[in-house]
Amino acid sequence: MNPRTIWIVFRKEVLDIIRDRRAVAFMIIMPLVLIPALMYLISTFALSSEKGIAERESTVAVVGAEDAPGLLAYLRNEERQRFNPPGESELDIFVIEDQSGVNAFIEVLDNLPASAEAGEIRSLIDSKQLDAVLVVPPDFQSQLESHDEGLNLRIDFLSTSDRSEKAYQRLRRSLSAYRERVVESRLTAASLNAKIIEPFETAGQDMATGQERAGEIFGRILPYMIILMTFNGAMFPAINMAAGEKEQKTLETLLASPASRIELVTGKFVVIMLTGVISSVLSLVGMYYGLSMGEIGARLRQVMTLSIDTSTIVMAVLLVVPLAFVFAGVLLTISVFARSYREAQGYMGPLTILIILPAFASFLPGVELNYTLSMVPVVNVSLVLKKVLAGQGFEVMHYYALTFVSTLVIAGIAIWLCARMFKNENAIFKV
Amino acid sequence: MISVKNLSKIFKDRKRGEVRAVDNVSFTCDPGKIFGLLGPNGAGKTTTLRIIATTMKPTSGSVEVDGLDVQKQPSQVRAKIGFLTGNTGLYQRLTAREVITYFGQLNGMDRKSIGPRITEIAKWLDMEDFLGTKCSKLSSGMQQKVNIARTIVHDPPVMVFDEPTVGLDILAARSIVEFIQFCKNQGKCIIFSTHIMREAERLCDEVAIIHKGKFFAQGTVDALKQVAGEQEFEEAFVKIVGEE
Repeated sequence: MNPRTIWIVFRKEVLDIIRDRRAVAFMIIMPLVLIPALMYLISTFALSSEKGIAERESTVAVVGAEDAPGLLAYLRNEERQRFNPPGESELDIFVIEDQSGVNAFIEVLDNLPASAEAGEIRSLIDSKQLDAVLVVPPDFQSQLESHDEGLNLRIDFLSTSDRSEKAYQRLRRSLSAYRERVVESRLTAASLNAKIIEPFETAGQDMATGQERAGEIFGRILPYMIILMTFNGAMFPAINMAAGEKEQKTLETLLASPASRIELVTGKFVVIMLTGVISSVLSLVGMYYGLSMGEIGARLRQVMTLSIDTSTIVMAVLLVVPLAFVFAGVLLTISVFARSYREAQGYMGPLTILIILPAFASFLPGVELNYTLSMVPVVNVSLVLKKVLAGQGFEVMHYYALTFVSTLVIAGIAIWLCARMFKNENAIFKV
Repeated sequence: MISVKNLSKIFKDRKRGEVRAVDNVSFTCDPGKIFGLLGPNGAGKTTTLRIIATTMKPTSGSVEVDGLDVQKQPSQVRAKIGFLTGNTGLYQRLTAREVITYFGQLNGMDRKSIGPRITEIAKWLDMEDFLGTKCSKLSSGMQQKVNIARTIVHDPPVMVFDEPTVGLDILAARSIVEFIQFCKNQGKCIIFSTHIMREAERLCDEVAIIHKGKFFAQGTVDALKQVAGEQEFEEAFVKIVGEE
């Protein structure tokens, strides 16, 4: 293996790629322009539609309103209460809830007769005249006052409609606040302190830092994205470098040159690997900008630190390099096996699925690194990257090393197999 | 210079079973001589030439180029050969000069010696004007010149031409024929395949008539005419192949 020949092949392939507008667009413009723009648009849209639903008043009708005057008066804001929606995490960034009062966003109509049928109610919700219906049983008020048991309030809604679902949640919250008031008044009537039913309260204190929270969330998503973008970036040049040469009718001439197969393959490999790594790094930069722009960026910064230190970047890139070599091997082998550019592209769909599935490991809860998983290609990189991006790379150094070495070994085998494929006359001269 | 002994190549085809693409073929070619492989499409010409250029392996028999065995020293053999086929393409995004330089470098030349060599070749082939143009923008005649330049940039002692004029117009084909003549005058050992009688008649010192993988006759054009007892070479060819 002569490094000079590898260098010659490398330089020619780089020149070929940077003159190829499609390849450049795929590698640079897509991750740096398209990805951030898309992320920004999607998040802005999601925020604004979420906001739209949150700010919209829910229209609710009550069946049998005359039997529950107290409840109705409560729902109609005649008695407002300061109320914070409980149980919502700060991380749930899309939830914007009214803090002014439980009932502030509910408009209550009481014009439904007690005989209203389910079908009638359903069509009123379907036609958007109503968002939900509260069904009060007969004599609710008097039964409540006489402390009857087994009282039931029913809410009719559609879980498949955002506005109806929202009205349901609001109603439930209002009703439980009303129930608390009833309990309170009963306790007072019995000369008991209202606090008696709440002997203690619980308070959780999240000790995770903003950095750790970011690591937890991005540690799941990013490994998958990194692996996928590396593969995507390597795909186009790999097809070009063998199937493309066949189609351009330059492959036979290239193979008739004194360069050895392993030299040709290695030169091409390095270029494919680089395009993969570059496109995944650029996609990450693009995603970072997409997420830090506008309102979504401001919200993210409230709960997490969007920064990564140098050692994390170095460790991540070092792990992606051998993986990109493995991809280069698989892709180039397929590329030289294919008769044409088109045929090679046809193999890419199924192959992408084969890569996506193991890359998904970082998403799965409860999948922890161990020595066996550290030897499974792609899965190991996904899991180790998750740790590295969460800032825990040094804690799993043994798995990191094992993943690095095993991926490197597979990359070596891939180069060797690919060089064999370049010697295979059935593949080279296939018509 | 080129010595082919009892060369056979068998392909395994799913539909047709075993196909003898080249069947026990032997010949030699010396420096300053042109050896022609004459035969119809599918006769085994391309396979023979690919084995000489080491891109295919023989099933049996031996091939030596300048004393080097094609199977044992394929890299060294390829360094001795300039290989040109009729349907060779060029890297469309590279300029003519870049293509020629790439193949010069792959053949072990350094940049210093490639520059003057390209100037020299460009003068012969009258291609100075478009050295800096991308191949995608060149006419087919110009592309043919770039291909020739790429083939001889490292000044190989052996030239292998596989139907080099196929698909070319009269003028481009003529310039190829002239180029082959030029290589002969330079003392190169040339092996050349064609299905065009006139080209074989005009260029070859020795011709082998190949059909279905077998050599039907071998010798000078005149000798073959005599054997067949025909004045016209084409008639002689048909008679020898025996398909009338």
